[in-house]
Amino acid sequence: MTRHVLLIEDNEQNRYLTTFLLEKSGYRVTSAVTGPDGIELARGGAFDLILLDIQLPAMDGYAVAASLKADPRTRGVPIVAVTSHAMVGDREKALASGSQGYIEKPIDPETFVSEIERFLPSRGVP
Amino acid sequence: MSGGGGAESGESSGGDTLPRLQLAALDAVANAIVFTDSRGVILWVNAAWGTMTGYSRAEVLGQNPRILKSGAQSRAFYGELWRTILSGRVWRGELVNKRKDGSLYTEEETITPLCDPDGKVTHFIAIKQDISDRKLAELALRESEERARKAASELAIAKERAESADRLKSAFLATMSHELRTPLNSIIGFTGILLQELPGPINAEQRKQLEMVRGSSRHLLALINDVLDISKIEAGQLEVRREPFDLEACIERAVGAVRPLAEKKGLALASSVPAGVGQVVGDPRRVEQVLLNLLTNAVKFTDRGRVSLEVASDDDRVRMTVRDTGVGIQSADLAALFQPFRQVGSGLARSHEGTGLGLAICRRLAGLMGGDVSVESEWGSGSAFTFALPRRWGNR
Repeated sequence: MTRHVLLIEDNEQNRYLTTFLLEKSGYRVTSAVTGPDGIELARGGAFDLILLDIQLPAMDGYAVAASLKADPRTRGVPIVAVTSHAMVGDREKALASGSQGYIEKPIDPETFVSEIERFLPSRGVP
Repeated sequence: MSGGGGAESGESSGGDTLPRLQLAALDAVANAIVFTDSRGVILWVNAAWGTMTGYSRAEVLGQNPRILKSGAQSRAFYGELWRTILSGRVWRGELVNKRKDGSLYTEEETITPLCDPDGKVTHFIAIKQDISDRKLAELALRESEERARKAASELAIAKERAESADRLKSAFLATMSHELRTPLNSIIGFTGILLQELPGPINAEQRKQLEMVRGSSRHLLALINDVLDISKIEAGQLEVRREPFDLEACIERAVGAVRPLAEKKGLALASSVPAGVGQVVGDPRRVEQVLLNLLTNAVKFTDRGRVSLEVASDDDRVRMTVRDTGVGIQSADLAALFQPFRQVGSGLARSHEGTGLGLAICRRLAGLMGGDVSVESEWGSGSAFTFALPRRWGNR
């Protein structure tokens, strides 16, 4: 069964980059450009993981994470926050708003996929 | 009793003693006293009145007190005063009057009408006191209170401005951090993907050039990180953790990170950590950052010989000294070494790329943890940078 990742990221190049890396590793990727679109998609689909950019216009990643965690339909999906902020307290803020993981940009294409794999729910024995 | 009579006016027979004493007493009191008839014509003044107004008694007998008028009070004011006293009531108030020499003074005055048995006003007794000094003091007090209020409000405005400047600075740093990293993320990311040959094979020349792109973009990232670090430190935005950590493990990580670079240059790299260095309290990530920076500098500026890390420890401090056999630093350059953007010697700057911020950041980070970074160097024979860290920083 192919793992399905929801990517919420506003920057086109970075969306392509992350999608490319994940698809090369055998993931299926659905992407959203804004927070509200991402929440909409998350409610309607069965995702194994949500990759969430924190610096989104209008509704930022913290608010998106809080909204996803407040909704029973999306509460169970692990969120990994990706941030280019890297300021004091960003990690704590991301984790407090409901993210399980935290990755700083720029991402390392060699280790990125294995980093997010840690946050995927483990599969049952085949 | 004559109108011009006073305490000094001669001897009298025994029966006159009491009125004479009374008049002498009135003449001696500190308040100014004036007697007038019902039209206000002055019949008698005491000595204090003379002192207050500057007129002698002889000058004013038969005159009207209007000689003191300063113009400070309105006609209506006097109209009200006269209505009050002519109706037999006492008037109390303050007046600004003019002395004989033209100077102004403020007096506090009580005018008491005297009436005959039919209730007709026959005389007035006015008792006055010069309150100019009190008025000045009150004015000065009001002014100083006003100044204090103004200063306090200016201070509040300045504080608000400084705080909003701080908020602006933090917001600016956060935005810069984001704006600079976003394009770098795709540059570093796609370069890595191409080098991994995920989209397809590349030839040797393409690999060489892509590695140059990756090298340059990593350097750019290091620059951005350094600039943001120093900006955060100077804006008071960089917080260091206070937690006990294993110093030896931290040293091993830093030495391990720089080992490939040392081996590539054929340099010996040694570290000696005495047993029992154990735990210190501080920020392990920042301690590692400082050590890595000092070690990388040492390897970068040494072409032959060795780089070593020696650790000395006592109850209070841990001293970590990075020693190299490199080019060394001229004594004239030592002072500027820890200033931001001051890589010494333009020739060196060209052959050893770096931000010129590393040592400035190291010293500030050490300072944030209660420690320091110092240097000893001899031109031509190497340098020794010592990172001193208090053992129990934060517990004091």
